[in-house]
Amino acid sequence: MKKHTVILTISATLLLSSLTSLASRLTIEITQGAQGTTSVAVVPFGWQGTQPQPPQDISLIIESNLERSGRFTALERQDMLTRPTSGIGINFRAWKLLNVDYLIVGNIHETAPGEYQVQVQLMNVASEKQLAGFRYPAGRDTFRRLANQISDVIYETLTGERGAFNTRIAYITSTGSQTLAYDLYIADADGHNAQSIVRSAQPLMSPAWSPDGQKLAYVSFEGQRAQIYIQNILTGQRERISAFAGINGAPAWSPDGRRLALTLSHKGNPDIYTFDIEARRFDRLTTSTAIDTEPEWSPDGSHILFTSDRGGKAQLYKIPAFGGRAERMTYEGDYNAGGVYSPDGKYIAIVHGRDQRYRIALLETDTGHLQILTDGSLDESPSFAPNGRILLYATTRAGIGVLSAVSVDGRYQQRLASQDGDVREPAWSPYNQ
Amino acid sequence: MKELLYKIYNNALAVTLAILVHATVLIIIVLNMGWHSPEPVSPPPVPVKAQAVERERIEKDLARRAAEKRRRQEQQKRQQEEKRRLEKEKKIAAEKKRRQEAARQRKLAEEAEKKRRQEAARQRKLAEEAEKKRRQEEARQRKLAAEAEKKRQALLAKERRQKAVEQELLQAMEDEENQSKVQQLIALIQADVQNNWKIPPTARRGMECLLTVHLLPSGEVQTVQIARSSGDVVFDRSVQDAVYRASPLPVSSSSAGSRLFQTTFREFNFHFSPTNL
Repeated sequence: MKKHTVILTISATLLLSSLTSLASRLTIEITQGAQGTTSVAVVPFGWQGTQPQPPQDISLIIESNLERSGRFTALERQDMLTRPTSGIGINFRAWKLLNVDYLIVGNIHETAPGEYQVQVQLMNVASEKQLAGFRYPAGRDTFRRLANQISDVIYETLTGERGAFNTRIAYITSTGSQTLAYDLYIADADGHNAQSIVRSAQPLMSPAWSPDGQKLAYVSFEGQRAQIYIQNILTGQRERISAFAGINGAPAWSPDGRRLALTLSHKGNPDIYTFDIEARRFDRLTTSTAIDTEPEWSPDGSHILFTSDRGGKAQLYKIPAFGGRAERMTYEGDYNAGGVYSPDGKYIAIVHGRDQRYRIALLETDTGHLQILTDGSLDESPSFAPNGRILLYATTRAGIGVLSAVSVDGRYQQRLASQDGDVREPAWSPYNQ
Repeated sequence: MKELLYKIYNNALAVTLAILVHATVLIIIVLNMGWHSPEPVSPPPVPVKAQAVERERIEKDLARRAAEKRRRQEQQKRQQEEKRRLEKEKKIAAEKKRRQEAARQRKLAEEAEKKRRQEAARQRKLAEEAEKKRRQEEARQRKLAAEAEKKRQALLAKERRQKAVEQELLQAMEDEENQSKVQQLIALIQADVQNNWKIPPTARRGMECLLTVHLLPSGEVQTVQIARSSGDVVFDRSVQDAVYRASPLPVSSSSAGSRLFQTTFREFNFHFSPTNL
């Protein structure tokens, strides 16, 4: 267990009784805590069924989810002395000796072919009490989703924050050696369960989730020209909304889902526009002679963030959503681009370029304080989990694009389940509705 | 007032003078009357026409005497009138004087009454002030007495408290070893709990939680109760868990341990308030 204990000052107050009243007693002041993550043990779930194994290793999914948040460390399975499958009769002292704070136990019961019942219990090792316990029905296809739902409940019970495990991600892949094929994929938040929703021989780019999580806007180069589409995920139905000469790029949904911000260049050089989806109307927002691109709405919809090289190098600017004067946001480093707001608006994740390295950094909106989170050389396209806890981004491993996740405190990084080909431009969905 | 008195005085003088003048005149008149009393008249010898002259003389003398008589009567009448007039004037003057005197007396009486009333008021006021002073003094005395009593009581209480504290101290720390032992144990317990407290992500500056713990003589944590909640479920659980994880707490390891346990560590509080968030 990685625990860096920092004890700074110790202050003790000895209050002897009867100084103030007969009821007063010794009070010991605790002002410092231990640095480190919470330790969990997700014991492999018990299994009662006709097959030798359940369809999915639920406990492994939960364990991986919790670890990815950066808030938890999981006990290795080989270190488990016992493997209880229910909260009854647990030897808490043994788990205490292993420095386990919380124990997650459960079992899966096949009630009918392809039908299951999953029982889970969350035990507090310190107080030797059950914190949560529940029972879910599950089918073969919903097993993974159930594991993510359970992860959310556990995460929220233990941290007080909403979990974002039962959400999805979208990303672009390119495969093939002679002739490339491009795919727009949707997968579970951990990268599993990937399904292509668009396939094209021409590049696909910039997927963006609608706030209700029902649609994706993206750029397609089909027919050798850039066009922006909005596609319904469930029905597959899609609609072309922009196909001007030149660039049609970087669509971003307004928080109310009524407008898109996008980059168009048909009037000369790339500028930021907004598009009213219902009124089918474009409004030009920037008119500089520089390149303005990568628009992104603030969570309150009041203004739009964008990247511009109007100052000589690519930096972040913001402009009121209905027009006005652009204001520069970043000054540190040679390159700051692709800014996205955290859901609470307190941070902007950016691609920060310095000394030929491009890494993901967090810019604190109030203070302008910049914190570099990743350690790659070509990290890009940051996207926040809807609870703001994890950032998904694209990086390269052996020259190939892969997806990675980093907790916003930079403590935990995890490469997502591997995909075929070159993977780029991840976009994290909003909460499931 | 002075002016009025002066006027009255002047009038009196005038009246007196008038009386004197009249009296003098009267005396002169009376004396004159003496001088004008009938005197033998010896007519001068008239040589010619004696008889006629004599008659003429007698007639003249008779007329003269009649005139004289009339004159005297008139004078008498005048004198009587003058006397009456004088008496009347005197009467008027006396009446005036009487009225003035009455007015003066009235005025004097009024003034005296006014003075009396003023004096009475002054006396009343003095009496009231004296009473007020008396009452104030009484209150002051009472207050002083109460304060003195309070002070005395406070002093007594302080003495009692001090004695109690001394007693406690004596009991709790029978010797130097005991005292240092308590401090040492507190430091150990504190370190143990701090090492076991994982400050949760929901913790915010200013959050506090007060716990009451009950220990077994072995130092094992028997119960951890939240005496004052932070208002945050996760935070409250984190501090409770910290105490549970630190169990058993190092409370008894010497012969004095059991005594210390009874006085200090059987039941005590933890106050959690993170300072570096």
